[in-house]
Amino acid sequence: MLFNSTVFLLLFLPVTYAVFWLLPTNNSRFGWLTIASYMFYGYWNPSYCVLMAFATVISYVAGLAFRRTDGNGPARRVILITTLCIELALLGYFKYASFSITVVNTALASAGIHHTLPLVNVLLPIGISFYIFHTISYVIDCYIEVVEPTRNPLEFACYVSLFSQLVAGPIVRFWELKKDLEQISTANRRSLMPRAWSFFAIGLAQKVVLADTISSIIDPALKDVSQLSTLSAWLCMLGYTYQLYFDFAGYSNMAVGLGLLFGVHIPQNFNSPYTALNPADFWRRWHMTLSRWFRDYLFVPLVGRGSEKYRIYSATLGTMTLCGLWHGANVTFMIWGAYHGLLLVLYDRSAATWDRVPKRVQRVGTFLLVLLGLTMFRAPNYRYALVLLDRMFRFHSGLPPIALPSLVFFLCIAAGIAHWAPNTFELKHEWSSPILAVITVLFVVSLFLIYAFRNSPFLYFQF
Amino acid sequence: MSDRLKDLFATVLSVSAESLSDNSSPENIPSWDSMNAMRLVAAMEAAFNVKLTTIEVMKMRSLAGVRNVLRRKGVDI
Repeated sequence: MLFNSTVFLLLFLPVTYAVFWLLPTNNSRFGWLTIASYMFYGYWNPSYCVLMAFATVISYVAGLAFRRTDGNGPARRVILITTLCIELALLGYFKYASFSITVVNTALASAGIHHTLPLVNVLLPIGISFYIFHTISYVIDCYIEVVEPTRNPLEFACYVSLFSQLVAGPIVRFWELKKDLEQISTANRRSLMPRAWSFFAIGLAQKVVLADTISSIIDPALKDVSQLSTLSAWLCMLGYTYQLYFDFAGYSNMAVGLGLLFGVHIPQNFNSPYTALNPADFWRRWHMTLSRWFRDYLFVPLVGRGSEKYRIYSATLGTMTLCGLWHGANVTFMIWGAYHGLLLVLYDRSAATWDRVPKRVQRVGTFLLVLLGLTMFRAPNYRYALVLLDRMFRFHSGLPPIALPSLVFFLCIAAGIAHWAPNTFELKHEWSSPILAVITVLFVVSLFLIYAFRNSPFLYFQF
Repeated sequence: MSDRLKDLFATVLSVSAESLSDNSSPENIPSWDSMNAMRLVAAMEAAFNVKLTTIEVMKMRSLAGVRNVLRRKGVDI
């Protein structure tokens, strides 16, 4: 079920909301939200629910087991390693099995060995990368004792399955929601309402009005990249850079709004990333919850006990390459991740020089570096990305994208919002009459576009 | 919190010591990023003459968390 679908907006959300606020206790609300979230998730494919329930039970049991062991004994390590192996095996099989076999077969073929492994046809469950990261963070945090394992299975099931953050994040750690979950039966519906609907309406408009409109213009042009003129290639990539941002930031804003409707504060995921001054600043602003996850659970353990520069740099490259691979089982994502790892290392080496450049130049430079990286992110394979880069950097004549004036118009609006407007967490979300009118218009226009034209999935659903 | 720890953080993170509190964390101090987190580890190991394990470093998600870890290692702060 998509947030931008009529079944979600006109049936699922009103019913879930109305029943939730009638329920009096924490456990009844946890139970209802869990049931609703499984229905939301199972709407795509009911069998996916079994997988999520399994990951939930495994992690919950691990938490209980940690409660019964203390100190740094081997039992705790066994619980941690066993649970992580199961969780990673789930992710590995469903997301990376086909990719891994293809890589092995390619390696065998290039070595002159003609024996190939049989390919497996596995359907990728939506959102698996997100909820597995939720459960992994919980298990590790329990192990290192920064969070107390919960005894309440309903609370934990509600945390893992909460539909607002289930299929495309933000990636929320248990400790970030724990206080809200403990107070869920005393949440103040009226005080949360304006902020919740404001976030939701803005997010919906970012997705439907900006991201989907830009996508509808550039996607046909990007189908045959070899026919693009140089100007068109740049305009398409500029369009994709804004499309990706407004698609995912829009989704994240809707998730924050939905969380607030049920008394839960979901953390900020985007902080005006296209105003970043350098690559390090960009990763503090882009998909912030994922960056923190990789920092806390991969980068720090990879660096280990040393603090020498080569260890930090190799851990940065390794973390960012795996961050790329997390986005999808494709070499293009690995290259994109490694590229950003390299940018982070290069920036660290040259920060003294870079930081002396005028701020406006730093911003434009960082934005262009991000845009160039996204050629690999957008491309279905690296050959496509090379052709696209060739079209961008060597002069080619060719046809402009259809609806060029519309594209330029929406690019100007997108650029104005992305580079200069305050982001949703910087707005006050107080309902005065003019603001309420704007929010209502945004919501109605978005609904009209959904009814009249489309309700396309969010880009990050595929991850 | 001792001034020594605050001063060390202020130097590595290029912020004023007055702006730091127990609640300071990578979430609210922009310069407390991955690379500076590792520089903080090196600086603390040198300043307090301790060796931090990976798990101890993973626990350092706020200044309060850092203080707890260092106190458990016998550092008087």
